[in-house]
Amino acid sequence: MLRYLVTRVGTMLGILVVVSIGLFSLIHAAPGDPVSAMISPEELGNSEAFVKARTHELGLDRPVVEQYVAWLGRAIQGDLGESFRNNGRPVLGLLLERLGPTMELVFTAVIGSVVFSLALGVFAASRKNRPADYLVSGGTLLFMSVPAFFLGMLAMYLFAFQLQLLPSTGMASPGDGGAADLASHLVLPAGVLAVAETAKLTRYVRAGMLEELGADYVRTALAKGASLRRARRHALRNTLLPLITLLVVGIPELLGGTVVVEILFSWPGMGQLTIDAITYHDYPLIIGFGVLATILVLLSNFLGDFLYRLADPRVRLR
Amino acid sequence: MRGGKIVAAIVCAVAVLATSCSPPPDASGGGGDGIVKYAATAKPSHLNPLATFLAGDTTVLTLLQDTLFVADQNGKYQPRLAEKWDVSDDATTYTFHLRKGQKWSDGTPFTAKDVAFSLNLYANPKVASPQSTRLAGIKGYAEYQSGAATSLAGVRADGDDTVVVELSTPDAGFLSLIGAAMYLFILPEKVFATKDPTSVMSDKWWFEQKPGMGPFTLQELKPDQHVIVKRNPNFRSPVKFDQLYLNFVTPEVAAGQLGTKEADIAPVVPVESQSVEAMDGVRIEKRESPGFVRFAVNMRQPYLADVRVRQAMLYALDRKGMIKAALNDFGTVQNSVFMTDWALPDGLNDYAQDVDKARELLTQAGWDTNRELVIPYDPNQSDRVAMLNIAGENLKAVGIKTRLLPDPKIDSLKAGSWDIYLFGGGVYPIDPATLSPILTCAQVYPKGGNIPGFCDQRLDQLMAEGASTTDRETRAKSYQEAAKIENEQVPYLWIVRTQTLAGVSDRVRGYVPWGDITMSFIDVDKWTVS
Repeated sequence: MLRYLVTRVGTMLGILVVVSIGLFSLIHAAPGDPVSAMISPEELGNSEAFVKARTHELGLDRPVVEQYVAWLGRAIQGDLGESFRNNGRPVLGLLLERLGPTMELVFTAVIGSVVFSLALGVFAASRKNRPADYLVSGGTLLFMSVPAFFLGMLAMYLFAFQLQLLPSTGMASPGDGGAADLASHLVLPAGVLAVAETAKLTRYVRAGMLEELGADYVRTALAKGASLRRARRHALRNTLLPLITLLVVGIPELLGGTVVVEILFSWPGMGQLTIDAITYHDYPLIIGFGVLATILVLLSNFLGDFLYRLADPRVRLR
Repeated sequence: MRGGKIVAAIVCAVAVLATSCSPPPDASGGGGDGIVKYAATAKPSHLNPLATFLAGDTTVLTLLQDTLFVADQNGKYQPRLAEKWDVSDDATTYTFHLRKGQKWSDGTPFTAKDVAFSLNLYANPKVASPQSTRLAGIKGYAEYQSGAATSLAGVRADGDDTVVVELSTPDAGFLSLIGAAMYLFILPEKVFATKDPTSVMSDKWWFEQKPGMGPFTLQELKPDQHVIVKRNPNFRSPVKFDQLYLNFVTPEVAAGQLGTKEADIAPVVPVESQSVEAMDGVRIEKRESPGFVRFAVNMRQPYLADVRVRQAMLYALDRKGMIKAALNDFGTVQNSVFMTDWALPDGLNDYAQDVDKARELLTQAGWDTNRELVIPYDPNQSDRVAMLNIAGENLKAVGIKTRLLPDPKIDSLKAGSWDIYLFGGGVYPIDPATLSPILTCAQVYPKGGNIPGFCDQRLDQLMAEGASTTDRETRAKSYQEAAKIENEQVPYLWIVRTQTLAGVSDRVRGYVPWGDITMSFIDVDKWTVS
């Protein structure tokens, strides 16, 4: 186990370095630069001195390799640099500040999608080839196909603007921020994020249940007098194994999906921050986000393997 | 059976969740008597007036800080920190008389020293502010920039309430340079005098803004969420309500929030105007913009240097059609960069759409119909995208191919790889001197804002003559002749002077829209809230 952990951590660090080099190269190769991006078109002509001063202040007049080495030296000490745009605020602080709201969105979506997908998947499997099963299958296919931004706008239009049941944007009402207020703001964005994931997981649960219910051990158990309910419980447990992996590995995908949702619902998470960073060539923030996202992906894969081991002791980690 | 129970459990869980949600958004009219909610579509990023002039930052800064004066909607200068000003006959000396007894938000006296210090800070070469060039005409500017002097020789505080600014050469347009919009916010000397100018651009103070001379003080700033500001009791004319919330939303959502009362005021894009007008308790306020939308033509490209080609493009465009389709008719066709009534001559060519004329001019100019014009644009501006699509079709109809290039940060402009570029803005009606940065030879980009690269010596001479005297009649003659040259030479394909729309809840009275949406709070002290 110790050897496994050491190897795993070493691999993760190696991947982080490769990702950071790749990101550094890409952002410097892309057209445009962060200092020019700070200037409005009307002021292009007034800004020569500003451009020169800021370029030097931000170290952008140094060779790219030198910039990367300097960044790496600081990153090893936990310092991801300062944002070019947000008045020089530390990148790590900015990201951690936004990580909370994003993870709140993601975890709420995950919990919601697990609960609903288990229920719907079992429901559909127990009514195989009947109208209810077709309804669930059709519905999941539809919701997997609809883009998140469209679904989000539809949900906002219906629940916020027409029915006026929920607030349209933001994480909290200014001056409020109580638990009920936070919860009401969370429903729409987390719900939109959860829909596609729920649809996907429901199909897996349904398929997994049907496979398990057709297995020899279930037939044997039923033949020996076990109730259908008991048999389904055993089948569900075995269905959970691939579901866990799917769920944990799907978290990075959900993180990517938060970008659209956060912009639409003005949710102050990492997604919005990253889009602004990319638009305005905020190099330290882009790389910081890339590194953090990589860490999250690697950790989620690691967690997935570990949970699988817990669920099935026969699995060996190498 | 078990599946059915599970479904029933889900239904119950949803019902519990729904009932535990907070009540629907307040339909009674917002956040109570003391609060006004504004749906802002541009977010601030640095709140630093020494840096650049971005819409989100300017909007918030107008709440927290103030300027000496600003051009109003009627083509006059509105006094703000300065009560009045004198201009010498030779247009070289400007004397600003501050209102007496003004205080910063922390109660300390506001004096002429703060103004003089601020002007020096903007011009400080170690700060390298883009706003510095607005002060380039002040005596001693060159010496200050080179390091031969430690301050602007032409700026001095004369007592507590008077600031004298001396220019090195006459400039009747100096007021427009510093006050056509809220460019030069006055900053507290006691805060900045001790700061290192080389690092002031990244100072944490910008996110605190205390003390300030604006109608509000900053209470809470949550990036990507909202800004909350509180009434400043020391403002010269205290606001009649307690707090203002600015919630940052996308333009599509802003209009919707008017309907749910999540916002009392919101900018409205033209395509949303009808749905906003249909909302209960909401009205549309509109005002002409102080700038206009136009294509800059890259005259550095040899095939665009021929005036016949530029005129042909203008004759090809259905500008009225663009305004109708993209802006729901909220706008008027523009035929010149000159927007000051007394500077416009009679008889300017209106370049009404004439496809045959366009083709004729292109044939005369030997236009290559295989050539494709590159048009960079910002895909986030839906009304501009609509205009571009129409323009593309119009130009194609006369034999000019185009290719749209998504480029929100206009990197292609900076690289020189563009042909025509659609953009808007500017603050030009107050004084034709404001056009020098976009028309004269010395201001050809990247040195100035003359993006097309247009250069006409006679026009330059006329612009200089117009700025050299305060006599209105003499100025008018010069500028009118300059306007004729510009109208004939077509460095810009002028499209439309837009209208700025805002949706306003009936609980807010006294709101006067400004053509420039960033100036929404200029007269906030005149608002009343029911």
